[in-house]
Amino acid sequence: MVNSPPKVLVVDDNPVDRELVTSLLAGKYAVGCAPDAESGLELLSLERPDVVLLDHNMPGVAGLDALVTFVKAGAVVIMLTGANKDGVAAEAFKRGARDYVLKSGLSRNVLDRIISRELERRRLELDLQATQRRFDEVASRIPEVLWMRALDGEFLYLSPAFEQIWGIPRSRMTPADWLNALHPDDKAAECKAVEKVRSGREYDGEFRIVRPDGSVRFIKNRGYPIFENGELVRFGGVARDVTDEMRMQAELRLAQKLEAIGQLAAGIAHEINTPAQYVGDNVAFLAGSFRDLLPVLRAFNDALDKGAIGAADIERLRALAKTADIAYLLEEIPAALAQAGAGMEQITKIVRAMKEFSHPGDDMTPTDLNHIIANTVTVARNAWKYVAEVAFDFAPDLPTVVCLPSQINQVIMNLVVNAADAIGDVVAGTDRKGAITIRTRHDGDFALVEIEDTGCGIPQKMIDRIFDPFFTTKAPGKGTGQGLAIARRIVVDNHHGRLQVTSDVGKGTRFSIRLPFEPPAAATGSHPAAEQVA
Amino acid sequence: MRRILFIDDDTHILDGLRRSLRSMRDSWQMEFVSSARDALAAFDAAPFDVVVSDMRMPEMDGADLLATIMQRSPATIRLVLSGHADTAAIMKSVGVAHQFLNKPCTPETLQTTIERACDLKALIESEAVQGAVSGLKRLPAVPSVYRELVECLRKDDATLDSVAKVIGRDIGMTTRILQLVNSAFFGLPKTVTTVDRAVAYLGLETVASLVLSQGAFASYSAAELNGFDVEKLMRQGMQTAAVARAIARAERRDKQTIEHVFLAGMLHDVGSLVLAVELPQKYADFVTRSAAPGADPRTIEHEVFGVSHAIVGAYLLGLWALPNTIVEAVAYHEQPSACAKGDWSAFGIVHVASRIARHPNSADPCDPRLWLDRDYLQRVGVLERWPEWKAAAATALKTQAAA
Repeated sequence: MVNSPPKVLVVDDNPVDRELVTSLLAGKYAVGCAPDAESGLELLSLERPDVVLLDHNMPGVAGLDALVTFVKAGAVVIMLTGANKDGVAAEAFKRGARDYVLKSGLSRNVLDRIISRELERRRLELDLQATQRRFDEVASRIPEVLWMRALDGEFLYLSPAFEQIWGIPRSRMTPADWLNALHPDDKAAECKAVEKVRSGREYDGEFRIVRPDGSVRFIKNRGYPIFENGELVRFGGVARDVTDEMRMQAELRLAQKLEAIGQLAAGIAHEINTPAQYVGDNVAFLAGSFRDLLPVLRAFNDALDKGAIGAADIERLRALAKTADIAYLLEEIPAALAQAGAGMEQITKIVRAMKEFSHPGDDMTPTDLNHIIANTVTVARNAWKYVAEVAFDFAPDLPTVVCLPSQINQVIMNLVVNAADAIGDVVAGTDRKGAITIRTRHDGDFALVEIEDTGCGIPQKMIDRIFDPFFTTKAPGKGTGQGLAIARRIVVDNHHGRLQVTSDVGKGTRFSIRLPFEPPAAATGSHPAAEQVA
Repeated sequence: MRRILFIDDDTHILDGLRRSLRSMRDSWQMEFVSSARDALAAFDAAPFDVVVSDMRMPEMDGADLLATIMQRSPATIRLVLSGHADTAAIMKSVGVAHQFLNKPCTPETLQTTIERACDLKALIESEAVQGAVSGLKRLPAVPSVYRELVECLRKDDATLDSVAKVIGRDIGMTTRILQLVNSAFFGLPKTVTTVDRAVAYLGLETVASLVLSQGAFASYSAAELNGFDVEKLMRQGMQTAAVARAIARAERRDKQTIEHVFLAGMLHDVGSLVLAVELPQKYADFVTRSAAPGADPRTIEHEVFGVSHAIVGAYLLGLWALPNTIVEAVAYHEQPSACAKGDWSAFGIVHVASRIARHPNSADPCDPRLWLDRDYLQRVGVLERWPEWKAAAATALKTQAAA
């Protein structure tokens, strides 16, 4: 197509004029001729010429009527007219002619200029159409909503995804409709955001919409001001449905929590099963001992009933006592009672700690850090008891810290388990144990918690990465690499605190948590929206 | 006097055991130590008939201790008494422990478990059995894939992937496992094409069971089999396994028991394979004689071989260091009343399952063809549950028939 010359169709009943025009166009254009409108239309559909030169004065169909037919058939028409009457020219333009040329003024240059201009215009139109089509293809396929609004807020453009997400038609969207679709609690914030972009700044917004069926979607919206010659003219942006993402994040958080609970549960089961074993054994022993003692007690009772004890009675009692092995029982029964009691105490302690650990409430509460730390260490006992001793060095008069105890529990648990793992790497296969020291201090506006271990330490080149999500040095199946990332999010993002680490390879690691006693008012534990999705 | 050694790092546990098992002091000579090192020292002084060890201990854990004891004194019965009841802990003990007991465990359970383990050992190592078994040219070795699998599972860092790799190295085994897994027997929702998917769907224990049973049945070449229908034996094994699992579920047994009766069901007649291949003449004689109307195959078996296929199978699985529950189930599957301290446990379930699978159409428990051990079932007080077992079995076998 590029190499073939543009096609021009000349429709004129006058053979001389046709000859003339043909000769003027020859060389540069491929020219076809038709003596009347009917055969011209036929050629038009056959040859698809780029430009039609149409005579105004032809017998049969009047020139202007023929013009309409040609334009309807998709032709680019330039009128050829003999008469220089403005009325004709105006009428021709009105009916879709692109231009007109007076037959008296025909020359190679004039024709060439007019046709070239039309061809160029045609090309631009096609380009524009192609661009528009490509944009539409993109806009109709991407799940994001592209939008553009005038300064008064009226919508200039909304891409098709809008209808999918909002569940309402996008044609004739008004600013009022837009506001109406917003969740009542989010309207004020969105209005503010619109004001912000109107003042020429970019904005990032998050809001909920309520669809006609009542379902709620979470939208992330970014707006950009558009300037022309330094003047703000419109604004546009991208809106995205993040409901599923937020649900997945909430599910992931829940899954991580469940995973942690699952790992805990196995340890807790062990912490309960062990004392349950020796409580049971001791109770069984006590039952057996009582059975052994019964004949002695009965004989003793009989003797009492008789009112007098003779030598034979004494002998009988002595024999019974020997059978029952009273000396052994006297020694063992108190010990058995004490151990059964100790076992029950152990079980009660772990069950109580577990209960406190699992249901501390999900609100910001003034919390006794020393207490919840000790509790969490009890719950995690199975993770450290084989490898380490835990020492507490608590500030006795530490004021309460306003925090989310469940999240702080999680952080402490994580750091204690990590400390135990680090020590485990060092003492494995030996009979040595390491030490975990947990310290609390009053540090200005902050409560300081330090968790220190005598483990393997963290090499300098890794220490910057330990808070990255999914970074782990543990064997597959031992950890997801999320623990410290979550700990940091909890301490830094949710509590406006600080989480720091210092480590000496071969000596150990110390994590320092600083929590403000009173976090800033804006601090919230978790994204309220996310909780709602979950 | 049986010599029994208890190991636990928690001295409270040892004190409790010492007191609660005191009534056994006339028949057991017990020692209690609080570390693996002390246990090995005690062994050096004089070997023990039974060891009962905790699993998680500092320095050397229970699995490693039992592995060491297994090497030094293979005849010792090795039991685990652990507070960690998770799969990882159980897996670690596979192949080194005869049985895994969970804390808390009553003194009675501990007593019967130890006594029964000793009885079983005495039974399959009795002179009569030793005499009969020594007449066999060779016994099948434990399938090497299974051995590797067990070693792999014992490592702390065992993953689905590493397990799948072990099986994947044996192409023949992989093919057989995938065929089995995709049969209607397991009723999986879609076709499984890789071993790791099979493990993901069925769990490690079941896949390990399949590996073991497939390996066992593939022990002999076609020439050695000499016309013996090993396929039929396998099919009966599968049916018994399915029924045993269904009954164990109906009886609300724990996961471990369900796995054990499944594997025991698959392997319950493995002794027949050994006898048929090693003593083909006698086996032919046995088949002819037991085909006579009214013949009691158990009596004939004893007359011909001097030992039952059940005991030969149990002997073999004992050599392979399978869990005691399975060895016991195979040993007593024909006649559970032979087990003196037998309660209603795995071997009873496998017995009932093998009877039902053999004669699925016998509705009456008194049907003489069934050879159902009604004395035993009556004694443990479960005979009246026969209709429930039949119903559970019917469902399990229907699924299989669709294969």
